[in-house]
This record gives sequence, structure tokens and C-alpha cells, in this order.
Amino acid sequence: MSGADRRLSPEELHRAFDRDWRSPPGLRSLTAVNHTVIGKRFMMTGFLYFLVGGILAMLIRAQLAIPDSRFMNHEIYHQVFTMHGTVMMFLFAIPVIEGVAFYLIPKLLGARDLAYPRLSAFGYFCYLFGGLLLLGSLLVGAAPDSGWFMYTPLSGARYSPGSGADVWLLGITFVEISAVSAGVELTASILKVRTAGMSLRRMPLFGWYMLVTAMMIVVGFPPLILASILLELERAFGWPFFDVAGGGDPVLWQHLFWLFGHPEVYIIFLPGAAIVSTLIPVFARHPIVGHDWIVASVIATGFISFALWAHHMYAVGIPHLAMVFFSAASLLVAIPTTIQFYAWIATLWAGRPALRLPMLYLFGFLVIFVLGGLTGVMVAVVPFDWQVHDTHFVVAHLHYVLIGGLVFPLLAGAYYWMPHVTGRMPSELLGQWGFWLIFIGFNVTFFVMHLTGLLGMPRRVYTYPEGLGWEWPNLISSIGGFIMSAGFALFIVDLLLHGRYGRRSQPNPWGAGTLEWAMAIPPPSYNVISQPWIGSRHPLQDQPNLEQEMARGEHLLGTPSPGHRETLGVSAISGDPEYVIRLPGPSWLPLLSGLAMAIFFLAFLAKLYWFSLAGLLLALAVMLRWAWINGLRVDSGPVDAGMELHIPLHVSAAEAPGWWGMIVLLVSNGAFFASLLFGYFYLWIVPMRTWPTPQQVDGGLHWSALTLLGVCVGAFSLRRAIIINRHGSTKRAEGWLITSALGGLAGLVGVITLALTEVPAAAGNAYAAITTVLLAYAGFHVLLGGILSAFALLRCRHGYVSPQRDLDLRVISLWWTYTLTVGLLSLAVMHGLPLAMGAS
Amino acid sequence: MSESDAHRRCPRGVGAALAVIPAVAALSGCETAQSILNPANTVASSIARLWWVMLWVAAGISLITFGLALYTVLRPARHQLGFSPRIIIIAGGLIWPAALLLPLLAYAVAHGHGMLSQPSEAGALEVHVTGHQWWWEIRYPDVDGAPIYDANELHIPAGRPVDVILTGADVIHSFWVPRLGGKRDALPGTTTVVRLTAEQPGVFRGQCAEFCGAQHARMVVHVTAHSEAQFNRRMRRMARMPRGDDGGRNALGRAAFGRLCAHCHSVDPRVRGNRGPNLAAVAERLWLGAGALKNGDGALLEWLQLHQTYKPGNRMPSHNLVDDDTRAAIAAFLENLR
Repeated sequence: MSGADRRLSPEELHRAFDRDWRSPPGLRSLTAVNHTVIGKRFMMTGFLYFLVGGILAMLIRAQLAIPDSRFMNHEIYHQVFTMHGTVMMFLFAIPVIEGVAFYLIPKLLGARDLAYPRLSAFGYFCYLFGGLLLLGSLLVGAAPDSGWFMYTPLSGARYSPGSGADVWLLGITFVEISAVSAGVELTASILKVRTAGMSLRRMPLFGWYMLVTAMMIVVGFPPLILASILLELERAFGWPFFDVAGGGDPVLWQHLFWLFGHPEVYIIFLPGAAIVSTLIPVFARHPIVGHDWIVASVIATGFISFALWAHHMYAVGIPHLAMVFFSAASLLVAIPTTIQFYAWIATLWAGRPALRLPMLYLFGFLVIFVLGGLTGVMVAVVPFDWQVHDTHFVVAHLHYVLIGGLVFPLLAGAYYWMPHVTGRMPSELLGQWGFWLIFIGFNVTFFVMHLTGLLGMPRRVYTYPEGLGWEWPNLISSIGGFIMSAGFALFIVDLLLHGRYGRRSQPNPWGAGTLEWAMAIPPPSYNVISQPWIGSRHPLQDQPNLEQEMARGEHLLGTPSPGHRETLGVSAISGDPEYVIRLPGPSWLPLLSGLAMAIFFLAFLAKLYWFSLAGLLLALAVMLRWAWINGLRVDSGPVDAGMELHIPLHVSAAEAPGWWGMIVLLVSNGAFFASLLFGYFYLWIVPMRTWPTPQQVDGGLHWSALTLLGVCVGAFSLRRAIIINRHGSTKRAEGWLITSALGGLAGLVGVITLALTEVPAAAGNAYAAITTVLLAYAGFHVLLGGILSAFALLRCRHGYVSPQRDLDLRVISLWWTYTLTVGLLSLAVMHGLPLAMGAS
Repeated sequence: MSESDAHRRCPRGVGAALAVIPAVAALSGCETAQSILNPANTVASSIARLWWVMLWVAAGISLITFGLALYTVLRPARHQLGFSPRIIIIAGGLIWPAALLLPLLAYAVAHGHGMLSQPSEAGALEVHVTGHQWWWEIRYPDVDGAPIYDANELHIPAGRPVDVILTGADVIHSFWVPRLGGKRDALPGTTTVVRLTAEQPGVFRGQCAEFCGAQHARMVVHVTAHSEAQFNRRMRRMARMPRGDDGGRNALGRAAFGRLCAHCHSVDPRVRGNRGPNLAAVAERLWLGAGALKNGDGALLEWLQLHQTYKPGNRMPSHNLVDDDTRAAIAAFLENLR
């Protein structure tokens, strides 16, 4: 950090940074945590799963090419179509988006890595293992076969007795862990881990899109995780949440599924639009027109997309007024999408468009997505949907939206960023052939499929008779499908060839204005020698010589700090640098915790429930170890970040990444809890069959009181510990941490006794089952709160906490506050609802 | 091929794609038995009309937007935008869609409401239809104090509204007869209603629209609309049915049916039967196995022999162990149920 270091040449700087940042080779590459490596792994794995999903699609088209086909029997076909949807939605679309974001976000934001590198690595292993579990079931012919939205009761134990449905529920939940951690990772990183001067207003649109997408993942996935847990509990232990015989309701599954499933569509579309909004201004050679309109549209889309879920359920017989609401919301969401569309048109019109290969794919996107959007408006119209719902018209529509909204932008992005990843240019010729084959093949397949649906062909039929007019359109769709496959084959060839024979790309080959092009390509392990202090939305265009200054280490954090991986943490809104984040390096812990989770899921699948619990405990132990090695044992004053800037390390900053991460995680957790309450109320109000029962909880107030007392003691003692520690006495704070842990213990005793003594057996009826889950949820939080308080105590004892360094305490306090809130609400609902409803 | 060449091809690609639909439509014919575009009553017609209007509006919107997009890229360099590009966003992104979507919503709400069954309405016939894996159970209203059961073929009077009251016996099914209107789910544990009005006599094909397991593809329902007089005659005839009584000519078949089939199937229209479809008038049906095999000479025997081939995985056990004579006798017994 002295002036002498400044004389290091760029080559020396590179070697110094690379020593700390590069990922280890060989077997130890499994310990890599760097966002470039993890992002590429997500993208590669996602692409491989895409090929699997594509092969399954070809099998479907082969089967449906002719009537009364004998190519596959119904058992195989049902696995194939279920897995096609499952693989494409859960193993391809979402993970590839995460991969693209992991790879690009730090680079676009001028940072060196994401906020929690080990979390991204952990997410990758969850994704990989969960996906392999699903694909493995396909190989042994025991794959799920009740359709990718797994409607109950068809997916319940009685009508799907094999393990296929369990594979789906467990495998998908495993993958969802990955998605939620990616959501937390991206939200916190975009808000906090940017370069200096990058206020939200100066942040590239890609960052805005991914911020909204990540927050939608954080809030949108928990309903599905909850639904999967409930259904797995029903299948494994007979707890009747969806089973009518036990007072459950199969429609609850549909609500929870689409509460996730519709936002999911926009979670897939927004990243596609993010790529479009990034590429259009580059090729139009004009800044994006209507920047603020786009940001507002993206945020509006995020909100509206949570109010549309029931438009998948018009045929269920929901009240007409509700249908009017959902129909109106479904039409309303077209407006922010149209605004984005016209912002792109306006940008092209205002600029001087250059027709390069990525633009070809953008045009493919525009055409396909407009058509998909128009049919989307049509199916939002209730009477029309009553006809075409669950027909091939909807199949056509959703492929227009998903392939148009995601795959075409991804291909455009692939060609755009290929030189960034490999440093080489792809082949224009192969690229164009690939485009036309994919574009024509796609439209031949799916344009005609609208007609197939209008002629009355339902979806998910493995065979159909002659004479209904479906022969020709199906044959044409099948031919189109194989043309499209040929196009993807060409894309793969191009991808493989260019890595070896492509000509070297010059830096910033497209003349872009965003920071990912301010680094050498392919990117070095640390991204940038120094993090720029930027003053506009297009730093590369507005700040001449920026790349050279950055490469000479003249901006922030440009001096190697041996043994540390450092990146800036900024104020979420203004982008003013707040602290230096020291990031962890390679670690076995992500792999180990992924493996521990795999033990849990596999043991549960094998019905070895106690053994699966051991897997969960192992995962908890690994994660506590993971948390243990964070932080510092000595106080450190402000560090020199370069450019006369002295800022603290993140461990002593008020809004450290860990604190933000916990906030985002709790938001996600809150969405889970809200879904659980939704289920509780739904089962109470809607079926009107077995509730209220004489067995409902009417006593046990003293146990509830003990629970609440314990939780209050736990939460308030921890707050007390923070204050006392801040006043200088970490030693005395330890006493309060002991009280907090004991409070947790008392609360746990209270809630367990309550569940055992007052709640009827969960397998008896839906009320008992959902009440047990509610108490188990509260109990889990109290238990973990107690463990965390004890953990904090150990941290204090070992010197990780000091009056200046209290991040651990503040993060754990957030958990306790949340626990107090959900504990209060759960008990209030459990005791209060019978009282409130009992009168009627 | 240069890049701009590639773009000049684009309209041709789109044009070709647009031309595909009419061509295929002509090949397939929209006038097919299960086509939404071949409506047979007011409700289905108004939805089909809605589709055609939306199609043409959508085609217009697509052509305008694609044209605009192509123009922005292919225009000569001197054609610069003469006004603020923001106007494009406001006009194209806000005003235009709002102007189109609001009337569409109003129209949809008004029409959707009109299609729902109104509980207060008098004169509607109530028929109960229960979805089973993979057939439809039908219960007609009481005649002489007891209901009449049937399966897979719903007979209704033309010109009179029929409220089909739906439920699911096992999993969720969806009752859908496209030429008579939209679908409605048949859910276990609750009932839903779909209003069906056939304005003219005729046979209308429908099938289950919600994936329901192994033979979802072969869960067909045929709705036959009769004139009111014919319908009433049929109901009275069903009520008086001889219940398979053939005066003792086929005692073997009758006994074998009683021994092998009666655990699940009833041949009495006044008795629901156990797990399987009621077979009271099975010989009169157009199809066997819910649309799996066309009925006709020898079809019943063939079905008894090969039903696991025609409809693999259906819940009826295979009859491989039944000897040929007995099987033929059962078939003959069933042939007599009309």
C-alpha cells in the first residue's frame, strides 16, 4: 500500500493479482469459487441439460408425427413429456440465467467477484446433484410422469405409487435451493458489490433487470418449495394437505404451484429482455431510449407477475369476479412489455443500426416474442381460454414466449459475449445458417401448432386417432422440430470450432460502453487490476483512456494486497464506496455441504428418514464451519483503497454483505411463511368439509406462552448483547448470549410440547397436518436461533467479535427478530382462528 | 451472404410462415369433429368469432410492428427520426395497447359472464358427470323416482340448456366438448358446472383435457343431442329397460357376466354399478372404451379380447384366462343390451 508499489508494471500487477485470484487446477478445481468459473459451469451444465431436454422434445415430436403411433408406449411417453418440461424449466432456463448473471454481473458492475463466492459454488453443486438425480431416474425408467406441474391428486401416493413423483419433488427442491441462493447472491451483489460512482441511476440496465429477476426468484420460488415439501410429506407420511379424503384440497397445489409458476415465466423472460436491452444500444450505436421507462416497466412487471397466477386456472371454476381480476392483470402485464418493445424500436430508429450476427437473433426474438405476446393476450381472455386451455394452442403459445423470450436472446447474447469468454470471434457463416435453421424450424413447428390446438387436440396425449384433422399439422410440426434441431447442431459446431479456430478478437469488438469490455479478454481471474471510479452510464465511451488507467492500477484497489481477494462495497443507492470486502478463496466447504444435502435428499428418497436427518445435521455442521472461518480476530482500521480513499473493512461496516444477505434470505423465508399461512387459511376456508373439527387446538395456551417467552428472551437478550458489546464489553455480552441460547431452548421445549400434546395426529386430517407444519416451522426457527446464539458465544470467546466487529451478532439478531415475528403470528393464527371462526 | 442480405430475407421467412396456416387449415379442414373453429352453438360460435377477430387484429399488429422494426434497420441513412423517440414509447407502448386491451377486456368480461350457468334459470336439465380414470360416468335426473345411469355417451335434448354438474372420482379431469363451448375441470371432492346447449340434433365429440394418467389420450365423451321428444322417449325407454333379460336364451353369457363382470359393472340403468361403467345400453353406443374402439359387428368381442391393446393400462383386468366360448357368450350377452 505504499507509493513504491505503484511502480509495478501491468505485467507484474497481473501476476500479483492472479496469484490470489486464480482457481486451483486439477481435482482441486472443485474448490473454485470465482464467479467466472462458477458462471461458466452453470452455463455449460445448463446447456448440456438443454440438449437432454431437446432430445426429449424430439422423441415427443417423433411420437406425434403420425396418428396411432407405436413408437413409445404411454408409460415412456408420459415420463418423456414430464421430463422435457421439467428439464427445460428447472434445469435449463433458470440455471443458465443464473450462470449468465454470475458471469456477467460483477464484470458489468466493475467488481471482481460476487458477494458470496462460496454460496455460488454451493448453489452449483445443489443444481448439479439435483439435476443428476432427475436424469438418473430417467435412465432407469422411473422418472416422474404426472406432468411438469405435478397436479395433485394424480401426483399423490395413490395415483403415482412409484418413486417418480418423489424424485421430482426432492430433485426439484434440491435445485430450488440453488435458485434461491442465486437469488440472494445476485440481489445482495447488485445492491452492494459495484464499483465506485455506480449509483443505481448509472447502473447498466442488465443490472436492473437482474436485480428484479433475482428478487422475483427470492420471493417466487418459496411457494413451490413449500408445495413440494407438503406434497412429499403427504406422500411419505400420509399427511393430507391435498387429499380430499383427509380434508385437503387438490386445488391448493395449483394455487401454490402457479404462485411460483407465473412469476417464473417473467423470471425467464426478464433476463432475455436484459440481454436485448444491453445489445440493442450497442448495435444501434445510440444510447437506449427511454431508460427510465424501461426500469419502471421492469419493476412493474415484477409486481404484476405475482397477480396473474390464477390465469392458469380459469377452467377450475374459480369465482367469476376473481377471473375478471386475473384477466385484467394478465392484460395489464402486456403494457410494460410493450413499453420495453417500443423503447427498443425507438433506440433502433434514433440510431444507425449495424447488422451483425447477434442482431439477427435479436430480430428472431422480436418476431417470435411479439407473436407469443399476442397469443398471450388471447389466452388471458377468459372465454377463449376455456376453449384453448390445455390444448396444443397453449403449447404453441408457451414455446413462443419461452423460446422467443429466452432462447433467442440467449443465442444473441452467446454470439455477443463469445469473444469475451474465449477471446475469439465466432463464424458469421455458420452462425447465419444456424440462425435460419433454428428460426424457420421453430416457426414451422410451433406456428402450425396453434392450429392443432384450435382443431381440438389436447396437450399431453400420447396418441391420437385419425380423422380429426390433426395428422397434417402434427407431421409438419415434427418436421419443423427436426429442422430446428439441425440449427442447434450447427450452433454447437460453431461453438466448438470457434474456440479452436476462431480469429482472435480485439478488445471490445462491438464498441460497447459497459465495463465488462474494460478488461482483457478472455477475462483474467480478478477481472480488473483496479476498479474504476465512474461518472456516467457509459464509462467506456465517456471516460477516455479508462481501460488504460484501470490496467495501470490507477483506480481503486489497484495495489495488490497479498493473500486477500478484495473488492469494493458501495452504498446501494449512491454507489459511494463504503468498505473493502475481503472475499474467501477456494474451499471444499461448498462441495461438502452440497454432498451433505445430497445425502439428505437421497436418503429421503430411499425412505431412510433417520439417515436423511443425519445428512441434514451434517449439512448444518459444515455450514457452521463455513460461517466460523469468516471474519477477523483483530480490529483493523480503515484501509487505503487508492485514489486517496480510506474505508473500513467489511467486517466492521454497518451494512456488510452478510447483513444484506441475511435480510434478503429472510425476505425469501417470509415469502415461504406467507405461502404457508395462505395454505393454512385456504384449507380452513375453501374446502368447508372437515373444518372446524372438534379436535382443533383449543388448549395449550401455557405452552404457547412458554414458547413466546423463550423467543422473546432469545431475541431481546441478543439485542442486549449487541448494545453491551458496542459499549465495549464483549465479555459481559457473552452472558446475554447464554441467556439468548437458553431462551431458544425454552422456546423449543414449549413448541415441541405444544405440538405433541395439543395437536391431533398429523396424518388424521388436513387441519392437524397444516398446524403441525406451522409449529414445526416455528420450532425450526427457534432451534436454529438457539444454535446461532451459542455459535455467537463461541465467536466471542475466540475473539471474532469485538466492539468494532459485531457483524455476527447483528446478523444473528436479524434471525431472532424474524423468529419472534413468525412465532407470534403462527401462535396467534393457531389459537385465534378457531376463536374468530368458531362463532360462525 | 452479407448481413444486410440476411435481413432482406426476413420478411420472406415471416410471409412463408404466415402462409402455412391457411394451407394446413385447408389440408386438415376446420370442419372436424372436435374443432373449436367448427362451432355448433351460440356459445362456441361467439368464442370462434372472438378468435377470428383477435387473429386479424393480431395479424395487423404483427405486420405493423415487424414492418416498423425492419424499417428502423433497413431505412436509408438520411431518414432520421424527426421527433423525440420518447413519443414512440408513449404512443406504441402505452396508448396503443391500452386502446386495444380495454375494449377486449370489457368484451371478454361481458361475454364470459353470459356463458356461465345461472343458478336461477329455470328449465335447465341437470346431468351429473363424474370423471374416472379413464371414462365418464353419467347420471340423468330421476325418472319414476330413481336416477338413470350411463357412461361415456351423454344424451341431451337439443334446444334446451343442460347444466353438466361435474366431479372427479379419483384425479382431476376436464370435461370439454369444443363444438359446444369451453371446458370445465372435474375435481374430486367438489362440483363444478358447465352449461351445454346443443341447438341442433347431432353428435359432438369431446375428450378429457386435463392430464389424468395412463389413458388420458383415450378418455372421449360423445354428446348426442336429440329432439326433445326423442330425448324423452330415450329416457323413458332406459327407465323401462329389460335389464339384459333375453328370456333365458343366453344363460351361459348371463351367468358368466354375473360371475366375472358384475363385481364392477351393472347392466341395470337404475343401479350405478361398482367400479366400472354402467353397461345398460352398451350395444347402442357409438364407441367402446370411451372412444378407444368403434362399436359395430363383433366389436364387443374384440374389445373383450384386446381391450388392453386398444387401451393399455385401463383398469379392467385382461381376459386372457377366460376361454373363448365364455368370452363369446359374454359378448353375445352384451350385444343384447340395447
